Amino acid sequence: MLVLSRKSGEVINIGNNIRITIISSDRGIVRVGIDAPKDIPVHRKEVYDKIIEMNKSAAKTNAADLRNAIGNTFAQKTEE
Amino acid sequence: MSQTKSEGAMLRTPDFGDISFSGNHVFTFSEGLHGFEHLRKFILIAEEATEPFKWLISIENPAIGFALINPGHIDQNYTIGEPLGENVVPMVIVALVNDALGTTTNMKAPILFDCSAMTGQQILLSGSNYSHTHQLARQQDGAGVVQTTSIRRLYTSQFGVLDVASDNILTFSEGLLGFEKLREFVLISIDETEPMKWLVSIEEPSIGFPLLSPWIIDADYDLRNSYDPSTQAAFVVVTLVNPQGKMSANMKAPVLISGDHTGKQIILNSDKYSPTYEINRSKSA
Repeated sequence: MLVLSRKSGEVINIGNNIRITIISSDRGIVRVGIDAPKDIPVHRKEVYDKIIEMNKSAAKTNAADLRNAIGNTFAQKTEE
Repeated sequence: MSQTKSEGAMLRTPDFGDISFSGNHVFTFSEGLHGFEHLRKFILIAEEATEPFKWLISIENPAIGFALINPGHIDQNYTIGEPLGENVVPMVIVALVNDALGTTTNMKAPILFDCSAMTGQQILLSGSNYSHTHQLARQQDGAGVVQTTSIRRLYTSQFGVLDVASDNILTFSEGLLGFEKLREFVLISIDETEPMKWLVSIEEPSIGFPLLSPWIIDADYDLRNSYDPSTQAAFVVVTLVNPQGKMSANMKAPVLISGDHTGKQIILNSDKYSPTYEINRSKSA
């Protein structure tokens, strides 16, 4: 991994069109500004991890279990 | 009588009658076959009438038999991309699709038989150009033009056999998050789980994601900048949270399917939407 030291306000370029600006650093919290083209998704890693986790738990859903879960959730809300 | 482990046994099959075999002819598939993960023990038989095809018969469910052929019969240069071990023989699954298309073989997912360890494994040649539906015997129409629509037959444990026309295959060029290697899917629905749909992997038919229209959950769901309602359909992936029937939907990462049969899962920037949005509560007992 490439490790760089930066001060607040300084910038790192990745390729020609991604710009990372260090905005501030205060008591262990670093604020970072990111400029990237629209087609490059930028999200916190935890978001990816959570989505991967949810996809994995959905991938092998059992149809019978799902049918039971659906039960009266959508259609027959009048049922008791 | 009680110690018959390696002695002869009898398999009663609907298609081949009674087959006697001994324990050391049994191939163990520790992971089953795609779509049949629960079947682990098979025997390989040959019939004179159907040579050079072989038949892989499930011991646990003798009604299930796969026709196999050595891919070398079809393509002399067939390779799985790495050297085969000693005593390892590749075979591919043959499917009789229909009268028009004839017979296809799944060249992309060969089964490797290790004849010394007596194990079998179905692998997926992910980087290869081989097809799941390589045509063995092509039939041409009157004009001599080969039909372009083909059928892929999927064997799924949940939905049975699915015959998917190539026109209905959705390509996800980046896969889904966590499943980047799976690129081809089909969207199906079954009555009993309406209004949900299922996004079933062509490459690995045991994988199917339940999908739901996000607007059924949240009438104000906002995809404004990410999707074009005139050419795309949007879904969210549903997860069964617990055996009591609690479900959640991933509102943060909807799946978009376009009219040109491509799909992708995107991540919304808005913090308004949760990957674990609760759809319902657990059923009360």
